[in-house]
Formats: sequence, structure tokens, C-alpha cells
Amino acid sequence: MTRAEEGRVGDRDAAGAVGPVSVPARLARMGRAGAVIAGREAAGRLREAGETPERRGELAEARAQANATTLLEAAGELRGLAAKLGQLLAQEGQGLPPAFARGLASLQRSAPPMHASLARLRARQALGDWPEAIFARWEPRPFAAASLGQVHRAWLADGRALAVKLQYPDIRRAVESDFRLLEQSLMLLRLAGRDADAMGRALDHLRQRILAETDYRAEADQLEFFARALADRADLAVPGVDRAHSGETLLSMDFLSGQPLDEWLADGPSQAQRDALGRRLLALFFVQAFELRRFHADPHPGNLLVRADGGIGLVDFGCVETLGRGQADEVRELYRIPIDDAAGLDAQYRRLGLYAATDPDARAKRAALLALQRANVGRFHAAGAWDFGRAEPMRELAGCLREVARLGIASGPLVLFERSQFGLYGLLHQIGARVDCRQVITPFLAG
Amino acid sequence: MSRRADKKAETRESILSASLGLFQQRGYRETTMRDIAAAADIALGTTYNYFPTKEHLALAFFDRSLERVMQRYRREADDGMALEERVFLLLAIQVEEMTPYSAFLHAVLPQAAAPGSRLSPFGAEVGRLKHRFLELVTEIVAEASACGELPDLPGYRAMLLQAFWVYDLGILLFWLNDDSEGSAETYALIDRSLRFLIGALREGGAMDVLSLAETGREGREAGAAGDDAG
Repeated sequence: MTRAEEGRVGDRDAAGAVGPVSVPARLARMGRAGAVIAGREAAGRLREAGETPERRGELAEARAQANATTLLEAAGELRGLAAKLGQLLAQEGQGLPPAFARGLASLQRSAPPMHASLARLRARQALGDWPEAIFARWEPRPFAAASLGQVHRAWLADGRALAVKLQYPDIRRAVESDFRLLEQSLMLLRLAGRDADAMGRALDHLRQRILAETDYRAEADQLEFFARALADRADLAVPGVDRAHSGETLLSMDFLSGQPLDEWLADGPSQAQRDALGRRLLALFFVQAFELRRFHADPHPGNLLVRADGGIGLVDFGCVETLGRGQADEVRELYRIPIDDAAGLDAQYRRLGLYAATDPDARAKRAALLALQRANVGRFHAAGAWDFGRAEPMRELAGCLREVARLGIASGPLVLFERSQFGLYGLLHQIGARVDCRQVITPFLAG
Repeated sequence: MSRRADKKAETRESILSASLGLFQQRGYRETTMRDIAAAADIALGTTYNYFPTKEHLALAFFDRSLERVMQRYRREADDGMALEERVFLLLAIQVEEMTPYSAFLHAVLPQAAAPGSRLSPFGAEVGRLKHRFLELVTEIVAEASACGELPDLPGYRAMLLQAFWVYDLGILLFWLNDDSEGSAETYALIDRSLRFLIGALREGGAMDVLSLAETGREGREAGAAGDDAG
């Protein structure tokens, strides 16, 4: 297919059309947002003339952030997509310019809820009757926002308390349409000389993930898997699914009591409580990745509950990644090899398929991965507590992940694992937890 | 109601439902008054006395649907609803009530679009229905203004109502062409567009666009004061 044909396929609306036309014409098609961005870019390039390269970089970065915000405000097609993207990018901004990721992240909580009339209409579309007729009691107002919808409380006749997650109508088309708009913004950023291919891949990965999340039946499967797999863990709770009242766009599960993480933090828990929660979360991550070989790829404050006894409630399984047995073992091996054993690590990277000996970039990739190893796995070799509250190691790790992505290592088991782990570190950073990482990992490395 | 009036209403109703059944199955154009009289088991002459043309039947259908929509709206709307939700509810009920008759509406639409048609949404006959519908909308908007949800809009209420009528027709046309499951695209469009339109009215931005400068500015200030209070 030629570029021109590609442009016409799926050309459903003017805003989303990517055709074989000039950049100004594309901007014009994007309406006011396009005009604002075009103006900003033109003015910006004038201002850059005569500046030092560093200053030019800063100016371009600032413009990219402003452009991202302009676009997303104009996009507006799908409330919640900006929120979803913000969440994902906050964890895996690699491949996308940091300013872009920050612009998206700042929109994180901007999704307004569905009012009661729309919510009950959606429930009826999914369940075949009005929610008041199906449930013994139905709360018309949501108690929590979910990025592609919202969550209502309901009770069955036998007293079972449910959390019912409802999807906003027409999400898939809106996701596709908003992503077309974002792709256009990629083209603009390409003008600013950024690595468009890496960004394109990152964006495509996000799109696939968000689309996968729109099928709540898949999430119900995951909930049941994790509930079974973690059933004997007293410090973990996973809600059961009410299959009779669930479908593609509506998911009924047991209501779990507990405080959402940000509420819990706002109550000012003691350092000891923070540390204990951090330890649990970190151990839980390795249980998932190394033992279940399935992990929550979207660890953000909205899908964690802190229970009255300090245990953890896991409530959102829309975004789960899977590793093969061999893959999980190969990743685990990275924690066994001494941190300064460059030759051993190099061999392990090749076993993981991260580069071949003949790869012209092998040296650079090896160096970037070794830096990542020090920035991430180093803490699991160090004695004593690691303070996740410090910002500098987070920045360093983000830089390492970005460099790895820039070199084209943007998929595969290690990348999935590291992205999710980085998301978890973001949580531990927010919690301000101090955790003895070596102590946490040791039981997982035995045998 | 007298027995005689009862009987008349009954006859009228059986002709109307027989016609709708035929319009749905066979199509509007393909159905004759003779078919309708036969299906209703009523003499052709009597049928003509009640409905001189098929267009009168279509009008009666719209009349009855409007009545149902308004009744359901009054039953289902409650005091706690914001303006966006009220108008959403009204339009969603309308879509729901029309859903069983979509084939008929598809058939009748080309007729309604013809200039001079008795079924034209801008003609005198439909105008009476439009008036009743817009009275309800006026009531909803006036309530919103009274409780400070919207700036007071006396100067352009008539224009807004006319615009709302066109908007509503556009929504119906979109819905008729919407093949998404459960008309999800239509509901998403209604929700998003209302959020945008009512948001613009509330902030007064729409008034500027319409260059109703002076009164617009007052309206906006009143709206802004309302926001501060809330």
C-alpha cells in the first residue's frame, strides 16, 4: 500500500485524516489546535535563531509540552483517554519526549463522570434491564472513577455487595480517533527533529493496550486467575467476579473495603507503615512476575486499596502482561548475576535476545543496558534500606530506560518487566517507602 | 369521555397501529390506504374519515410518540439532575421510543425532506408538535436559569429553541444511520455535544460567538457570579 492509499483508509473524519498532503495542510485540517501549534512552532523557530544549542533544546522542549496540551484539550473526543494515556505515560514515557509525557500526565484527573441517566442506560445496554430492576440496590452515583468508565456500588438480593464497573459508550471508536490525532502530533514533533519511529512504536503499544482494556470480559478472566493464584495470601485481596452480571462493557465484582492509596497517603501514615506497604508491594511484584508470570502492567494509585489490616486490595486488572516460563527465568537471572560481572550480563542480554553479536549497535546497547542494570538492579545488591522517596534515582532510571528505548529496544519480556517495575517504583516513590530490596528479592532467587 | 368518543378513539388507534405495522413491514411508500383499512378491519371510507392521507397517519404517529416521550420525561426526571442530564434524558427517551419504528422513519424521511411536504419539520403541521416539544425545552431551560445554572437568556431564547430543534433533528438523523451496538455512538454523541453546548452557554462564550455583545456580556457576568457562588 502506498502512503497515499494508507492515508485514505479509515478516513472517517477530518480531524483524524492522515493524507498525502503538506504539513501546513494537515495542521489546517486539525482546525484551531493545528493553527495554534503551527503558530507556536513558527514563532519558536524565529526565537531560536542565535540561541545556544542547549537553549534551543529547552525552547523546543517547552514548545512540545505546550503542543501536547493544546492537542489533548482540543481532542476531547474521549474523556478519559487523556487520563489513561497520562497514567500509562507516567510509567512508560520512554520513546515519547518527557515534556509530552508530562503534558499528558497533567491531564490525568480531568475525566468527568457519566451522570446517572447515562450510567443506568449503559447498565441496561449491558445487562438487558435497568440496574434498579437487576440489583436489589443500585447507587446512581459512582464512587470511583475508572479511566474508561466509572464504578458504582450495587447489592444483590442475597446481600452480596458489588462494585460495578461501567464503560463509557463508544470507547473503541473514540480511542482510535484520538490516537489518529496523537499520530498527527507525532508528525509535528518530527518537525522538531525527534525520533518519530520510537515514538510511533510507543504510541502504537499504548493504543493496543488501551483497546485491549475495553473488553471487560478479558479483565474478568484476569481477576479470576489472580484471585485463584493469590488465594492463600492473607495480606492480599482480589475481588471475585459476578459473571452473571458482567459482560464486555460492564464488570460486576465483589466490593472490597479499603482506602485508595492516595487517600491513605493523605491521612499521613507513619514511616513504618509506609515501609511495610512498600515491602509488600515490591514482594507482590516479584510473586507476579517470577511465580505467576503474569503481572499488573498498570500499577497506579487508582487500582490499589490499603485494607484496614495494612494488607493490599488489588482492584483493576485491565492491563496485565504475561511472560513465558523461560522468559521469566531469564529475567530473574539478571538478579543473580553480580552487578559488576559485565561479561556475564552481556551473555544474559543476548540470551534475552536484546541484541546479536553482529548488531552494529551492540556496543551502545550493551552500555545502555549495563547502565540500566546499575540504576535498577543495583539496589537489590546493596545492603540496608533503599529510600524510594529520593527523586534523583528515579530520574536516573528514567533516563536509562529512555536511552534503551532510543536504541530500539522497545519490546520483549525485559522491556515489559522493566516498564511495569518502573511504574511500581513510581508508587513506592509516592509512598516514600524505604525497603531492604536485597531482603525482598532473596527468597525469589533460591533454587 | 362518552362511549361514542371512546369508540372513536379506539377506531383511530386501531387504524394507526395497523398502519405502523404495515409501514414497518412493507415500507411507507408501498403501503396503500386500502391495505391499512383491510389490516385494521375497518371500511375504507371510514378510514379516510379518520386519516385523509398517509401523511396524516405519520403525523399522528409523531404526535403519539411526542406525548409518550414527554410523559416519560416528566416521570423520570428528578430535581437532582443538572441541565446536561435533563436534556440528555429527554433525547435518550426520544431515541428509545423511536427505536421500534426505525424502519418506518427511514421510509418517511425522504418524504419529510421534500419541500412543501406536510411532514416537513419546518412546516405548519409538524410545527404544532414542535411547539409542544419546545415548550417542554423552554421549561427545562427556564428552570436552569431560575436556579442560576444558566445565565438568563431572554433576548435569544427564541433563537436558541430554533437551534435546539435543528440539533435534535440532526441527532435523530445520526441515530438513524448509527449501526453501533445499542446505538452507543448516538448516546456518546448526545452526551459529548450537550456537555460542550451547555458548557458554552454557561460560560457565555456562545453569546460572544453570536456577537450579542452587550446582553451577552451581562449574561456572562451573571453566569460567572453564579459559578463563584457554587
